[in-house]
Amino acid sequence: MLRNGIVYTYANDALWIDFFLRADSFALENDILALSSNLQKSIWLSFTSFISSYLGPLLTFYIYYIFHTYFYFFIVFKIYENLSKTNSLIKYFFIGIIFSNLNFISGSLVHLDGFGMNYRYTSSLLLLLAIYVLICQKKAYLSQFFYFFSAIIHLPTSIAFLPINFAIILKKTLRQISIPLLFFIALINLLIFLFYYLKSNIDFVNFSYDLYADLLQIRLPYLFFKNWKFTEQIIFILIYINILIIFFKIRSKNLLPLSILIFFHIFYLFFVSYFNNFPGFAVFKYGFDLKYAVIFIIIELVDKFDEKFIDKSKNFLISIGAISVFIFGNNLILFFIAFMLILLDKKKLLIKKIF
Amino acid sequence: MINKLKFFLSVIFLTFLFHFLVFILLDKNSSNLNYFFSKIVTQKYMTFEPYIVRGRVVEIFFFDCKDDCLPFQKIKKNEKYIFFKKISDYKFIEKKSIIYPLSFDSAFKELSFYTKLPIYFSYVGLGQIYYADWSFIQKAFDRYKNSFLLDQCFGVLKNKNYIPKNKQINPYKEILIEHGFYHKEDFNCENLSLDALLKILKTQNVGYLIEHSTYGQINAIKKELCVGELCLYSF
Repeated sequence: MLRNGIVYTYANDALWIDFFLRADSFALENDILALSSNLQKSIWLSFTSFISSYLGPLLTFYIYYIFHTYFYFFIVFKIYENLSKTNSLIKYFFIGIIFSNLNFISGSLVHLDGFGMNYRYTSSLLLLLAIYVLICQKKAYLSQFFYFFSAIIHLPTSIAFLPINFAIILKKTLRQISIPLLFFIALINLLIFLFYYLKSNIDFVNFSYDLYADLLQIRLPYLFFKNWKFTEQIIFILIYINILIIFFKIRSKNLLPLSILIFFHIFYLFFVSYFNNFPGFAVFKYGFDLKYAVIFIIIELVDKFDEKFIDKSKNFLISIGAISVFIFGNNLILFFIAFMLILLDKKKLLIKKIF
Repeated sequence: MINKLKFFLSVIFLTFLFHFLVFILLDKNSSNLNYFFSKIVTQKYMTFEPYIVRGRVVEIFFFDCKDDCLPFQKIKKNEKYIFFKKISDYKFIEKKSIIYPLSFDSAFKELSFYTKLPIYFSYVGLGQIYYADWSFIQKAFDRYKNSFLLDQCFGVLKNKNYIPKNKQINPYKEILIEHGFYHKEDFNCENLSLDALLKILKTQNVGYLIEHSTYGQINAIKKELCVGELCLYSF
């Protein structure tokens, strides 16, 4: 049922880009894309087509681009403002230059997306908004709405919300049992499931999975961990190590929600590693679950910068991490420094605030 | 102030040093120092595309702009750029499809933005097979086969080295043969004539072709316009 429904009913990235490039012609009769019937199934594509019919594809393209870019930085800064102990210009500068780079957090090209024209970025922004509302404003119900809209635009992106959502909701529920909230969350997830299932009409009967797997190996070799560069593999593992360090540093008071969080990440890792030969599941790439975690690791790192004593060695390290992302677009040094500082620094971690 | 400057310069120096160490230790191309400097991505923050190209409203759409869109840099009016510009003014017969050499799929991905014509085959379209039903898959593979034959058996452009080539073209063929969609003979150029292939394409409503200027010395196709060695043909 999952294969038949849940992952196939939205436009893929290439189709979205093609929408802007090929303007009015991409769905014409005789076009290779028009042969596929899923153009009409994507709500977001239909909505964008509607706007585009009035404003034209280029103007629509620019509107998406500017809107996404503005709100991406706005929400990231707001999350940082709410979590950090001391806000200073230099810290905002570091946050800005780190997040202004399209950081690949996995070799399967998953990155912190937000500024650009892709439909996934709208989904990602809604997810960021859901996280902001849940963590900073403590509005659990409202955050589920944003998560819902994020999921119906791009389901794999919205996966990142589930671990943190359940960890926080569980913590809340333990303090004061909230049956309506649990019911509401179950309802939202059921609606997402039904939304994808009912829209599906994919015929898999005649098509061999072996063929799918072979085609995937050619068209999308980056989906598979073994095909990544060595540095990409290290970066990916470093993020998990950072999460584990955070877990062990604050586990005493938050053992249960943190265990739920870790369980979700490990489950997702096994889910992808087992299923990514199947095209239906290949959209769930390694690293989709890490998006929010990367945000907190970066905020945690930047917050350790001490403006009063600029010559401190940790200030050097944090600056090197941020500048290296800006100059080389590579996260390896950043996450390695985060790993060292989060491990060795004796200050309380900011992530405690979210529970 | 001097302390802050020292701090900043030290950070820059150490950043380069650390990345150089990583490059030496972990990168396969560590013997090539130029490759290390090519990893610097800071110039991309200076690009303005797609909002405005060098202070002017976009007149030609480059999705993948890269260094060509740095401020104060003149637009490189290469052959492809002028060709796109010229065909955007050409009056095409509506709903006729356009076909181009499969090896140059990525180079022509912006084509339909100017022609407003359906694309006969592209790898982007082939990506849709994961989402589509069986009849679509059959048609898409047939189109792949015809595009492949037109390019590999009769294409001239593939021998000219001025735009990057698509590496997927042959492995895809091998997979389709391996899984029984086609036989090896189906991709054999010896059993095929250009006339016969064009007839098949015509029945599928294909009306235009992009190829090299020395292409097709037969009556079945007509040269419509050329920019340098790149030409638009109708048939």
